[in-house]
Amino acid sequence: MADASPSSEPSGPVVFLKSELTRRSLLAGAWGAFGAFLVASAGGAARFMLPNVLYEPSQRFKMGKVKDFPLGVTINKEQRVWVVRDEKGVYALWARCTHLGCTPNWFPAEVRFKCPCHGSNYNLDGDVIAGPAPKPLWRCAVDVTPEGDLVVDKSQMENRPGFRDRGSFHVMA
Amino acid sequence: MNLKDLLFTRYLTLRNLFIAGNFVLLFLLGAAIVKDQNREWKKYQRDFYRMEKARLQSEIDQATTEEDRQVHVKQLALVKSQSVKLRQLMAPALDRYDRCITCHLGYDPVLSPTTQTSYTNHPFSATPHSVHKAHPVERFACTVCHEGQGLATTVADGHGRVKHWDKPLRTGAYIQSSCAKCHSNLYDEKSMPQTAAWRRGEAIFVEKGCIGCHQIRGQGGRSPLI
Amino acid sequence: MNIPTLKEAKDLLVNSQVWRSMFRGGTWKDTSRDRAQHILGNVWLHLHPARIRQRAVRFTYTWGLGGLSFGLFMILVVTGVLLMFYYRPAVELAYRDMKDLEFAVSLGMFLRNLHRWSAHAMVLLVILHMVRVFLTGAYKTPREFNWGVGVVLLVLTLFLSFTGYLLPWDQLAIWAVTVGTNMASSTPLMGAEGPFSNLVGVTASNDARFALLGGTTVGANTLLRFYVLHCVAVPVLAGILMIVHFWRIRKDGFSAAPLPGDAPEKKMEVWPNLVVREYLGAILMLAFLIGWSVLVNAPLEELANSGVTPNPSKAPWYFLGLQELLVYFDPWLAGVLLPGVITMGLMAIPYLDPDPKNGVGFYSLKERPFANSVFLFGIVMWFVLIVIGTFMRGPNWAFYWPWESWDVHNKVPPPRTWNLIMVDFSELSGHFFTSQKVPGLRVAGPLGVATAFAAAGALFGAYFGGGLLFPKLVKGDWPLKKSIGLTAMGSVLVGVLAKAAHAFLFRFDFISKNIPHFGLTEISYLAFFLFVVLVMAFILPQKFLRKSTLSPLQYGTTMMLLLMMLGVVLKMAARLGFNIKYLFSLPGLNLNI
Repeated sequence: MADASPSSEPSGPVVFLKSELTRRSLLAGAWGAFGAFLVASAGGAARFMLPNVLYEPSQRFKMGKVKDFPLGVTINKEQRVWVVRDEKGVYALWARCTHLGCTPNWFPAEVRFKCPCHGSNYNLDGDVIAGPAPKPLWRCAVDVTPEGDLVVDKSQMENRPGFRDRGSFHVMA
Repeated sequence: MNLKDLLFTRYLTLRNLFIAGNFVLLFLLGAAIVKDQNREWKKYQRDFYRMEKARLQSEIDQATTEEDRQVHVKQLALVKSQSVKLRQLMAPALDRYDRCITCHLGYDPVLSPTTQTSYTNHPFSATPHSVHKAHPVERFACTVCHEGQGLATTVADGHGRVKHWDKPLRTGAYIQSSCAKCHSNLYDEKSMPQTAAWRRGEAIFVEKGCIGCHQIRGQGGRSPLI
Repeated sequence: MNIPTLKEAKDLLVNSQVWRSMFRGGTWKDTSRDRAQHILGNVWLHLHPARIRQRAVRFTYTWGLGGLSFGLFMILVVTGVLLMFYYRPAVELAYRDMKDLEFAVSLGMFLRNLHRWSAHAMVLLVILHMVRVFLTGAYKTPREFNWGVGVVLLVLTLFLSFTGYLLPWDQLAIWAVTVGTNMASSTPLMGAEGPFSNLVGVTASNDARFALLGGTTVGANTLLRFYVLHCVAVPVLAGILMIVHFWRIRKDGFSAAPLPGDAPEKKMEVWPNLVVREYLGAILMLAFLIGWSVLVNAPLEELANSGVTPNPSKAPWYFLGLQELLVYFDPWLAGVLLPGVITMGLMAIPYLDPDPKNGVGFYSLKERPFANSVFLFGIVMWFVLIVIGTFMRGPNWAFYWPWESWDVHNKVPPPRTWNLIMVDFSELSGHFFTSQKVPGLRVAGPLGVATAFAAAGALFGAYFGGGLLFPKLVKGDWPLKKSIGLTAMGSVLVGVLAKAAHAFLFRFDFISKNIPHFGLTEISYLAFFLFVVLVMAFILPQKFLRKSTLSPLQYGTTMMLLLMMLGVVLKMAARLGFNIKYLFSLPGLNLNI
């Protein structure tokens, strides 16, 4: 700086090792503070951009009495979920094709889910039997309340065979 | 001029202002961030989680049947998985978006599917009530009956007892004044059992002659000034 | 392995191909050439010269006001864009989004506060910047055009603040904008309630206000329209003009010119001397605004309700001066004509200057007594009106001292007003000294109309004509202090004489009914305003303008603007002292003065 008197102390990190507070270290600290300010501003702006409340339906929702669900597929369009009952119990499939995210349609005559976008086909377990989808359909966690209501939780998902048909992803009721 | 010169050549120099300015700037931004992060409701949530964990743990320890124990274990796992966050109930058909459950966690259908707690202290108490059963929070939210400021997240603003909010919280029998928003059969004791105070109030309204100028549902006086 | 020191690492980076392709220069050395290159080689800084006169760098010359105004504009753009991610300009959603910003968005309230306080600060700072430029004569040749661009930027700043004021969609917003935009319906010819509108078929469904609001009331269309104006149209326009404004400053040289007789100009290097001062100004202002935004919340009242008008309903502070003037003038005057004349008058200032060399580049308070007195008088009057409007007007716009509570029941209703001259086209007559209760003097027929017009012409002709002539008629050189003292005494004397005349004429109905009281308050109003008008319109011009080198057009324009400004003061005196509502009234054409 044109109006700064030359300092005899060495520059750079050596200064920080000395315990005395020199003008240079104060200046470096001031620049550091400004840098921290910029980082904090950017961080604050980033945090601002992430909403804290969503005007979307809740991820965890009730779907009526579990014993009322018939054998086969019940469609929940608003939440994009299929509730499937077989002889072993009840589970919930997320109606999102694992290829590129379209909503497949249920064809009861063929006992298949078929995606209209690129032709992926799934069976009742969610496994891919045709088409470009790379993975089986995801299953949402399900639970039954003490009153007998079915609760579906889309914030927890599983699609691996062996894991998806037990524990919180399958309900015997 | 000596003091002025002294001030500007020794203390308020460009260098000192630069150093001080940068630190003050950082400090003040920090203050803004700290103030923003220290929200009133976070304390209530942390307290609730602590109380719930303690209660559930003691229930697990005292459980007599395995089934009973499993229910509490599942609930404890659920509570442990919760973070401190804003919670909102939505009733888009009624244009209500209520954040009451951020503090009144007993009514959060995710945390407590029965929307009941056994606590007696405010805001954690959630006593069972037949009206609550008939009007599940997932469909109705809170403020359509209880009023107050649903969008707010502080105690004073949420309860609506602040300047520039003309619908403060309704408590006790006053809640019944909201029933008429949707129900028209308030005179029927059998189908609307919880509205006795409303009926008494309406009787006074007629008895004292208020109905001469004011109206209820189209019945009553038609004073042009009111 | 040779681990490089920090300096060596930095040199490696700065001399690499990747770095040099983005930033020229490589390692900077602390030489004059490289310091100049910091400026010349940097797109953000190259509007600066590489070297600058020392006097132009001093903080106490510009107080950094122009730069700070631009800095505030940048803060407003950044905070504004961030707020746009959560705010929706629809009447069902806007208020809810404001509540969301306050309660549910991280740093939402802080950013909203920062945006609002920066906006208020920017309006204040651009006004102060204008005052500074005036007081240092920095509008004179060759900088006249840039001054004009600056005046337009001032108007755009006010308009930006005004359009933004509506967006929260609360009671404060909707009614402030209702008051403000109702001015537009009083525009002559283009406003449904302005003079001459009924002659050209302009109604509430197609006038200037309709175009501004996108409807007949402040509603959904207005909100969207103001949003687009506020976020896109006006900022782009202001940006374009700012480019011109900054370019002109650079091209015309920064204004702190060397004083005549100075040694050859001593120049400093802009890097770092000017740049560090600009940086310092920016961060100190930013720090202050951040602190203010942490401590003070921007207001948000109830949801906008077009059925309930708050009492009182006040415009934003920078328009409260105009709202106060509405007590004394019809909207077409106070809201359209006066602001228009003020804007045009401000832009005309550089062209009315007799001596382009006088007092440029320093605070030439002594060298330009007339210019400074008149300009500062206008600014002070503007701020006095704002202060009155802010602190001394309560419910029903009644006068309340700042410490008085706004209890409506204690206030005496304002006295009944009367009109000096009135023309009635429907029944073809002229009226004098009329009010609702007192018919006054009525002259029927076309003679009456002609008399009324003649009287009005004589009144305004005498004021403006006399005002133009009298300063030129003075022959000798009257000492200033003495003339002002004499004027003061004379004004008081006139006040006392007026009191005596009032007592004498009280027997007549048109005086006793129209001016029931003429006590100390009224005498004081009369004496004070008369003193002010005589000093500003006569004493000062005869001293400073009589022998100046102004061309007749320049003299005429200067005096007309001055007389109009003082006319406002006189009208206020007429209202406060004599309860005169209109000096001249033509109800059939909505023309009332």
